[in-house]
Amino acid sequence: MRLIAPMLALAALAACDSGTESREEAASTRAVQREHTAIPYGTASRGTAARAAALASPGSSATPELLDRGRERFLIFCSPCHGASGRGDGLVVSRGFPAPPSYHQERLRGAPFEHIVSVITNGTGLMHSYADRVPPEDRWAVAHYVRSLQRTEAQTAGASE
Amino acid sequence: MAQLFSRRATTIFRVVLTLTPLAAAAGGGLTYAWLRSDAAWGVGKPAPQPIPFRHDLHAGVLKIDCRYCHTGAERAADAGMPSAQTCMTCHSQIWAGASVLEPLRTALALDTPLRWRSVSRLPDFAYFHHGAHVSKGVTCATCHGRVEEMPKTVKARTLSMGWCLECHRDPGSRLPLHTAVLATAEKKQPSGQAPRAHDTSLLMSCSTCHR
Ligand code: HEC
Ligand code: HEC
Ligand code: HEC
Ligand code: HEC
Ligand code: HEC
Ligand code: HEC
Repeated sequence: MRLIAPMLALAALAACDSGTESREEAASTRAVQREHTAIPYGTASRGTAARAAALASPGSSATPELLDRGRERFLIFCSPCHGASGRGDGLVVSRGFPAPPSYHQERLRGAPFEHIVSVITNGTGLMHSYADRVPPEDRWAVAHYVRSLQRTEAQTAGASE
Repeated sequence: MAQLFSRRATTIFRVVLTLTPLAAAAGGGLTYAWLRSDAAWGVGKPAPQPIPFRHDLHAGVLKIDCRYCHTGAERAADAGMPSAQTCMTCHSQIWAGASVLEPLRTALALDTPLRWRSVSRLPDFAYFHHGAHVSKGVTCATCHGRVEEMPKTVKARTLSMGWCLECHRDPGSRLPLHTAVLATAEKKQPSGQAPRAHDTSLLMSCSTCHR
């Protein structure tokens, strides 16, 4: 009879949850990226003015920090298709993705910064928008880095002629 | 009245008396060892995924940067999972009609999230922040192993409290400060200034991770 109380206590303990229970079902719904849900007509989401300001051109002077940042972002988001040097020969292209145009052709060398920023923001043709992953200030950094790629390429091409 | 216990009963009783505590101790020891083993924490066990995604192909062979898909890892608490749109930047052209990618097209059409299964989710009472670690130069591989070589994503470390504290006790010796994964993390520090000494008492206080 005296054993019953400890037995009951043991049974109660056995019902306890462990901290290492598997939790797969809770996975990643909180990590879904959605920046493109439509907002109601006539309203503006928080930070709209700040985003618009960041989209405005920071001027044509590229600081070394800006170029470094642009290079890093370019290698993450653009080089899989456009290649590290911008010739449109990324690894994904070698697996069958339609090759993007080289940055070093006449038309793109003459294109303004705004064009590159708008391609990142809105996409073009087969290229999807990167607005959900490249914030506005980074788009300018990338645009400046693309321009510096074009300049080095033009210089080496000029030297070898 | 006949004797209730035979002579042998004494020996048996003695043997049982010595073996019982031994068995209990062994059982306790085994449980202790099991709870600390990798298997109890699910290390090396893949979770069933809606799409047979392969890191060894995307991050290994194609060399796509982790941050292309896990965008939050540098600044946010959550590293973040890629949305269907992110996969579609390539798979609108490559393997476009493949049946393995059907969940992707469904998610896109219905505007629902892709429900990936996590192998590394912590319990709700523990708090973790990716940005705080990645920006200090802790590499992904320190905690997740060599993901770019995994055909199926598995947990590589226990991610138990003891494991976290092992590093928090003395992060300085474990941090590859000079080979920081992200060059910018170092550059942000004003030049000439020694890297900030880590406040170990803060890193070890319960409320840092249980808040
Ligand atoms: C570096 C972060 C960190 C610190 C500091 C920390 N913990 Fe934890 N703790 C964790 C994590 C992570 C887990 C969850 C492990 C699991 O079950 O997956 C945990 C789990 C626990 C659990 C549940 C164990 C179980 O088996 O379910 C308790 C209780 C706990 N911690 C108490 C404390 C106390 C008390 C302190 C202060 C002395 C403390 N923790 C400090 C990270 C931390
Ligand atoms: C998934 C592959 C892929 C990625 C990643 C990618 N692009 Fe593209 N890009 C393309 C393709 C394909 C085209 C050609 C689009 C067309 O004309 O249909 C293109 C075209 C362009 C053009 C030229 C547009 C024009 O006027 O012809 C620019 C500029 C450009 N991309 C910039 C970028 C930048 C900057 C990034 C990184 C943020 C990037 N791309 C990432 C595939 C990609
Ligand atoms: C930057 C481009 C790119 C992105 C982004 C991308 N993939 Fe892929 N994926 C590829 C390429 C290239 C292949 C290989 C095609 C080949 O070699 O036949 C591939 C192959 C695959 C395969 C087939 C693997 C096999 O061989 O069994 C699956 C499944 C797949 N991807 C799923 C995904 C999912 C899910 C996502 C989103 C999280 C994603 N991919 C994002 C480029 C990409
Ligand atoms: C093309 C997109 C893509 C790239 C690039 C990528 N991942 Fe993933 N990652 C995913 C997807 C999709 C999942 C969920 C499916 C799975 O677990 O296999 C995932 C899951 C994970 C998980 C498991 C998370 C959890 O909670 O279980 C870790 C850890 C991880 N990735 C780390 C990395 C690291 C480190 C890199 C860089 C070496 C990387 N990933 C590159 C798409 C990607
Ligand atoms: C200090 C250890 C540590 C480092 C460094 C680290 N992670 Fe994690 N990661 C974790 C833990 C712990 C979790 C579980 C977080 C949770 O459940 O709250 C996690 C979860 C994840 C997830 C699942 C989704 C999410 O956001 O919870 C992905 C994806 C991921 N990590 C990718 C990465 C990538 C990519 C890197 C490198 C840039 C990285 N991690 C660096 C410890 C780390
Ligand atoms: C390889 C070393 C290492 C490991 C492993 C590690 N941490 Fe850390 N953690 C650090 C360092 C270094 C910092 C301090 C960053 C700073 O100085 O701001 C930190 C800071 C933190 C912070 C404070 C973030 C903030 O808000 O400032 C939390 C919370 C934390 N870690 C939780 C965890 C948990 C939970 C785990 C286990 C899943 C873990 N850490 C594993 C090195 C590590």
